[in-house]
Amino acid sequence: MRNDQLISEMLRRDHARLAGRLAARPMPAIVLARLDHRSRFRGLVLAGAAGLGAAIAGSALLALMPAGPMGLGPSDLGFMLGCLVIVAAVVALGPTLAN
Amino acid sequence: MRANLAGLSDRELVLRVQGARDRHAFAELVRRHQAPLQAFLWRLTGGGEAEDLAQDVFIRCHDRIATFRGDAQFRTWLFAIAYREFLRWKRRTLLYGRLLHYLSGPAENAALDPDDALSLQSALNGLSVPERAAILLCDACGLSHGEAAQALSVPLGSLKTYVQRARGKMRQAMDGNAELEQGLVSCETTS
Repeated sequence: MRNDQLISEMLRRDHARLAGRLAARPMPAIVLARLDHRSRFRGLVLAGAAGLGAAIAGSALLALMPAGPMGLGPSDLGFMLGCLVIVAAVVALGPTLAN
Repeated sequence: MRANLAGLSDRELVLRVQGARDRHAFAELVRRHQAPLQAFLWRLTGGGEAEDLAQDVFIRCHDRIATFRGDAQFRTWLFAIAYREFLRWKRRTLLYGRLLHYLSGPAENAALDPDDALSLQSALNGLSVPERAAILLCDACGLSHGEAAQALSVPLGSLKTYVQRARGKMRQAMDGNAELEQGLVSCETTS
Protein backbone atom coordinates (compact mmCIF):
# COMPACT_ATOMS: atom_id res chain seq x y z
CA MET A 1 0.00 0.00 0.00
CA ARG A 2 2.37 2.65 1.27
CA ASN A 3 4.97 2.24 -1.41
CA ASP A 4 7.28 4.76 -3.00
CA GLN A 5 5.00 5.30 -6.00
CA LEU A 6 2.19 6.44 -3.73
CA ILE A 7 4.44 8.90 -1.91
CA SER A 8 5.66 10.23 -5.26
CA GLU A 9 2.11 10.51 -6.54
CA MET A 10 0.99 12.36 -3.44
CA LEU A 11 3.89 14.81 -3.68
CA ARG A 12 3.23 15.32 -7.39
CA ARG A 13 -0.44 16.09 -6.78
CA ASP A 14 0.33 18.40 -3.90
CA HIS A 15 2.87 20.22 -6.08
CA ALA A 16 0.37 20.55 -8.95
CA ARG A 17 -2.31 21.84 -6.56
CA LEU A 18 0.05 24.39 -5.01
CA ALA A 19 1.40 25.47 -8.39
CA GLY A 20 -2.13 25.94 -9.69
CA ARG A 21 -2.96 28.14 -6.73
CA LEU A 22 0.21 30.20 -7.07
CA ALA A 23 0.12 30.60 -10.86
CA ALA A 24 -2.41 33.42 -10.80
CA ARG A 25 -0.12 35.85 -8.97
CA PRO A 26 1.32 38.62 -11.18
CA MET A 27 4.94 37.76 -10.53
CA PRO A 28 6.48 38.93 -13.86
CA ALA A 29 5.27 42.49 -13.26
CA ILE A 30 6.53 42.45 -9.67
CA VAL A 31 9.95 41.09 -10.65
CA LEU A 32 10.35 43.65 -13.46
CA ALA A 33 9.30 46.45 -11.09
CA ARG A 34 11.87 45.29 -8.53
CA LEU A 35 14.56 45.18 -11.21
CA ASP A 36 13.68 48.75 -12.26
CA HIS A 37 13.65 49.93 -8.70
CA ARG A 38 17.03 48.37 -8.05
CA SER A 39 18.48 49.90 -11.19
CA ARG A 40 17.29 53.36 -10.04
CA PHE A 41 18.77 52.77 -6.62
CA ARG A 42 22.06 51.78 -8.22
CA GLY A 43 21.89 54.95 -10.31
CA LEU A 44 21.49 56.95 -7.15
CA VAL A 45 24.43 55.24 -5.47
CA LEU A 46 26.49 55.74 -8.62
CA ALA A 47 25.54 59.42 -8.69
CA GLY A 48 26.55 59.76 -5.06
CA ALA A 49 29.87 58.07 -5.69
CA ALA A 50 30.49 60.16 -8.81
CA GLY A 51 29.62 63.35 -6.91
CA LEU A 52 31.93 62.43 -4.08
CA GLY A 53 34.73 61.57 -6.51
CA ALA A 54 34.24 64.84 -8.36
CA ALA A 55 34.23 66.77 -5.10
CA ILE A 56 37.47 65.15 -3.96
CA ALA A 57 39.11 65.72 -7.33
CA GLY A 58 37.88 69.33 -7.41
CA SER A 59 39.10 70.08 -3.93
CA ALA A 60 42.48 68.54 -4.69
CA LEU A 61 42.71 70.69 -7.82
CA LEU A 62 41.77 73.81 -5.93
CA ALA A 63 44.23 73.07 -3.17
CA LEU A 64 47.01 72.78 -5.74
CA MET A 65 45.98 75.85 -7.67
CA PRO A 66 47.20 79.18 -6.33
CA ALA A 67 44.84 82.15 -6.49
CA GLY A 68 45.57 83.42 -9.98
CA PRO A 69 44.07 85.62 -12.66
CA MET A 70 40.66 83.99 -12.26
CA GLY A 71 40.66 84.82 -8.59
CA LEU A 72 39.85 81.28 -7.52
CA GLY A 73 40.90 80.32 -4.06
CA PRO A 74 39.90 78.19 -1.10
CA SER A 75 36.91 80.45 -0.44
CA ASP A 76 35.36 79.29 -3.71
CA LEU A 77 35.71 75.67 -2.70
CA GLY A 78 32.14 75.26 -1.42
CA PHE A 79 30.60 76.73 -4.54
CA MET A 80 32.74 74.60 -6.84
CA LEU A 81 32.03 71.42 -4.92
CA GLY A 82 28.30 72.09 -4.96
CA CYS A 83 28.35 72.62 -8.74
CA LEU A 84 30.40 69.49 -9.33
CA VAL A 85 28.11 67.34 -7.21
CA ILE A 86 25.01 68.61 -9.01
CA VAL A 87 26.52 68.13 -12.47
CA ALA A 88 27.77 64.65 -11.62
CA ALA A 89 24.39 63.68 -10.16
CA VAL A 90 22.52 64.88 -13.24
CA VAL A 91 24.93 63.11 -15.60
CA ALA A 92 24.73 59.85 -13.67
CA LEU A 93 21.02 59.90 -12.87
CA GLY A 94 19.72 61.29 -16.14
CA PRO A 95 19.75 58.11 -18.22
CA THR A 96 18.45 55.98 -15.34
CA LEU A 97 15.53 58.31 -14.59
CA ALA A 98 14.76 58.64 -18.27
CA ASN A 99 13.97 54.92 -18.32
CA MET B 1 4.14 40.18 -28.31
CA ARG B 2 3.24 37.72 -25.58
CA ALA B 3 1.68 35.33 -28.11
CA ASN B 4 4.93 35.34 -30.10
CA LEU B 5 7.03 34.72 -27.02
CA ALA B 6 4.78 31.92 -25.77
CA GLY B 7 5.79 29.87 -28.79
CA LEU B 8 9.51 30.13 -28.05
CA SER B 9 11.50 27.60 -26.06
CA ASP B 10 13.21 28.54 -22.79
CA ARG B 11 16.57 28.49 -24.56
CA GLU B 12 15.35 30.93 -27.22
CA LEU B 13 13.95 33.25 -24.58
CA VAL B 14 17.22 33.13 -22.63
CA LEU B 15 19.13 34.02 -25.83
CA ARG B 16 16.87 37.05 -26.29
CA VAL B 17 17.51 38.18 -22.72
CA GLN B 18 21.24 37.61 -23.09
CA GLY B 19 21.44 39.36 -26.44
CA ALA B 20 19.08 42.32 -26.33
CA ARG B 21 18.18 42.38 -22.62
CA ASP B 22 14.63 41.71 -23.78
CA ARG B 23 12.36 42.44 -20.80
CA HIS B 24 9.34 40.77 -22.36
CA ALA B 25 11.33 37.57 -22.90
CA PHE B 26 12.43 37.60 -19.27
CA ALA B 27 8.86 38.25 -18.13
CA GLU B 28 7.76 35.24 -20.18
CA LEU B 29 10.40 33.08 -18.46
CA VAL B 30 9.14 34.28 -15.07
CA ARG B 31 5.52 33.61 -16.04
CA ARG B 32 6.41 30.13 -17.24
CA HIS B 33 8.36 29.03 -14.18
CA GLN B 34 6.88 31.05 -11.31
CA ALA B 35 4.31 28.49 -10.21
CA PRO B 36 6.50 25.35 -10.01
CA LEU B 37 9.32 27.37 -8.48
CA GLN B 38 7.08 28.88 -5.82
CA ALA B 39 5.49 25.53 -5.06
CA PHE B 40 8.96 24.01 -4.62
CA LEU B 41 10.04 26.85 -2.33
CA TRP B 42 6.74 26.71 -0.48
CA ARG B 43 7.30 23.10 0.57
CA LEU B 44 11.01 23.68 1.15
CA THR B 45 10.49 26.65 3.48
CA GLY B 46 7.19 25.54 4.94
CA GLY B 47 5.20 28.40 3.35
CA GLY B 48 5.55 31.99 4.45
CA GLU B 49 8.54 33.35 2.60
CA ALA B 50 8.15 31.40 -0.64
CA GLU B 51 6.88 34.31 -2.74
CA ASP B 52 9.59 36.77 -1.69
CA LEU B 53 12.19 34.08 -2.09
CA ALA B 54 10.92 33.24 -5.59
CA GLN B 55 11.21 36.91 -6.56
CA ASP B 56 14.77 36.98 -5.23
CA VAL B 57 15.54 33.87 -7.26
CA PHE B 58 14.29 35.50 -10.48
CA ILE B 59 16.25 38.68 -9.78
CA ARG B 60 19.42 36.66 -9.20
CA CYS B 61 18.61 34.69 -12.33
CA HIS B 62 18.36 37.96 -14.28
CA ASP B 63 21.72 39.11 -12.89
CA ARG B 64 23.46 35.87 -13.81
CA ILE B 65 21.69 35.00 -17.02
CA ALA B 66 24.79 35.89 -19.05
CA THR B 67 26.54 32.91 -17.41
CA PHE B 68 23.87 30.43 -18.57
CA ARG B 69 25.51 28.42 -21.35
CA GLY B 70 22.71 25.98 -22.05
CA ASP B 71 24.56 22.87 -20.81
CA ALA B 72 21.57 22.09 -18.61
CA GLN B 73 17.90 22.90 -19.04
CA PHE B 74 16.93 26.39 -17.93
CA ARG B 75 14.59 24.86 -15.35
CA THR B 76 17.45 22.89 -13.76
CA TRP B 77 19.62 26.01 -13.66
CA LEU B 78 16.76 27.97 -12.08
CA PHE B 79 16.17 25.34 -9.40
CA ALA B 80 19.91 25.34 -8.63
CA ILE B 81 19.72 29.09 -8.00
CA ALA B 82 16.57 28.57 -5.94
CA TYR B 83 18.24 25.96 -3.74
CA ARG B 84 21.24 28.22 -3.11
CA GLU B 85 18.93 31.14 -2.32
CA PHE B 86 16.99 28.91 0.05
CA LEU B 87 20.20 27.89 1.88
CA ARG B 88 21.17 31.56 2.17
CA TRP B 89 17.70 32.39 3.50
CA LYS B 90 17.90 29.54 6.00
CA ARG B 91 21.25 30.76 7.31
CA ARG B 92 19.82 34.26 7.72
CA THR B 93 16.72 32.89 9.46
CA LEU B 94 18.84 30.78 11.79
CA LEU B 95 21.01 33.76 12.73
CA TYR B 96 17.94 35.94 13.28
CA GLY B 97 16.27 33.19 15.30
CA ARG B 98 19.33 32.84 17.51
CA LEU B 99 19.46 36.59 18.03
CA LEU B 100 15.76 36.65 19.01
CA HIS B 101 16.31 33.72 21.33
CA TYR B 102 19.24 35.51 22.94
CA LEU B 103 17.32 38.77 23.35
CA SER B 104 13.94 37.48 24.45
CA GLY B 105 14.39 33.93 25.64
CA PRO B 106 12.94 30.87 23.96
CA ALA B 107 10.21 31.91 21.56
CA GLU B 108 7.04 29.95 20.88
CA ASN B 109 7.23 27.93 17.74
CA ALA B 110 4.59 29.56 15.58
CA ALA B 111 5.16 27.04 12.79
CA LEU B 112 3.82 24.24 14.93
CA ASP B 113 0.20 25.01 14.29
CA PRO B 114 -1.83 22.16 15.84
CA ASP B 115 -4.17 22.10 12.84
CA ASP B 116 -1.23 21.69 10.54
CA ALA B 117 0.58 19.12 12.64
CA LEU B 118 -0.72 16.16 10.65
CA SER B 119 0.08 17.51 7.26
CA LEU B 120 2.30 16.66 4.39
CA GLN B 121 4.40 19.65 5.38
CA SER B 122 5.08 18.24 8.82
CA ALA B 123 6.23 14.99 7.22
CA LEU B 124 8.51 16.99 4.93
CA ASN B 125 9.79 19.04 7.85
CA GLY B 126 11.04 15.83 9.42
CA LEU B 127 13.55 15.45 6.59
CA SER B 128 16.98 17.01 6.40
CA VAL B 129 17.32 19.92 3.95
CA PRO B 130 19.06 17.94 1.17
CA GLU B 131 16.59 15.07 1.58
CA ARG B 132 13.62 17.43 1.38
CA ALA B 133 15.02 19.23 -1.64
CA ALA B 134 15.89 15.96 -3.37
CA ILE B 135 12.47 14.34 -2.95
CA LEU B 136 10.68 17.56 -3.92
CA LEU B 137 12.74 18.01 -7.07
CA CYS B 138 12.41 14.39 -8.16
CA ASP B 139 8.90 13.48 -7.05
CA ALA B 140 7.06 16.80 -6.96
CA CYS B 141 8.75 18.87 -9.67
CA GLY B 142 9.45 15.95 -11.98
CA LEU B 143 13.18 16.46 -12.48
CA SER B 144 15.24 13.41 -13.37
CA HIS B 145 17.80 12.19 -10.82
CA GLY B 146 20.57 13.63 -12.99
CA GLU B 147 18.91 17.04 -13.21
CA ALA B 148 18.17 17.11 -9.47
CA ALA B 149 21.79 16.16 -8.69
CA GLN B 150 22.91 19.01 -10.91
CA ALA B 151 20.52 21.46 -9.25
CA LEU B 152 21.66 20.50 -5.76
CA SER B 153 25.34 20.25 -6.79
CA VAL B 154 25.71 16.75 -5.38
CA PRO B 155 26.92 13.50 -6.99
CA LEU B 156 24.23 11.34 -8.55
CA GLY B 157 24.80 8.56 -5.98
CA SER B 158 24.26 10.95 -3.07
CA LEU B 159 21.10 12.28 -4.68
CA LYS B 160 19.66 8.76 -5.00
CA THR B 161 20.54 8.10 -1.35
CA TYR B 162 18.79 11.31 -0.28
CA VAL B 163 15.66 10.36 -2.20
CA GLN B 164 15.57 6.82 -0.80
CA ARG B 165 16.17 8.05 2.74
CA ALA B 166 13.50 10.73 2.35
CA ARG B 167 10.94 8.20 1.14
CA GLY B 168 11.75 5.92 4.06
CA LYS B 169 11.32 8.73 6.57
CA MET B 170 8.08 9.82 4.95
CA ARG B 171 6.74 6.26 5.14
CA GLN B 172 7.52 6.26 8.86
CA ALA B 173 5.89 9.67 9.30
CA MET B 174 2.72 8.32 7.74
CA ASP B 175 2.08 5.90 10.55
CA GLY B 176 -0.95 7.23 12.37
CA ASN B 177 -1.18 10.30 10.17
CA ALA B 178 -4.81 10.55 9.16
CA GLU B 179 -4.42 13.22 6.51
CA LEU B 180 -1.64 11.37 4.77
CA GLU B 181 -3.60 8.13 4.97
CA GLN B 182 -6.49 9.92 3.28
CA GLY B 183 -4.15 11.31 0.62
CA LEU B 184 -2.85 7.84 -0.07
CA VAL B 185 -6.32 6.36 -0.30
CA SER B 186 -7.42 9.05 -2.76
CA CYS B 187 -4.28 8.41 -4.82
CA GLU B 188 -5.05 4.71 -4.86
CA THR B 189 -8.68 5.10 -5.81
CA THR B 190 -8.03 7.51 -8.65
CA SER B 191 -4.96 5.81 -10.09
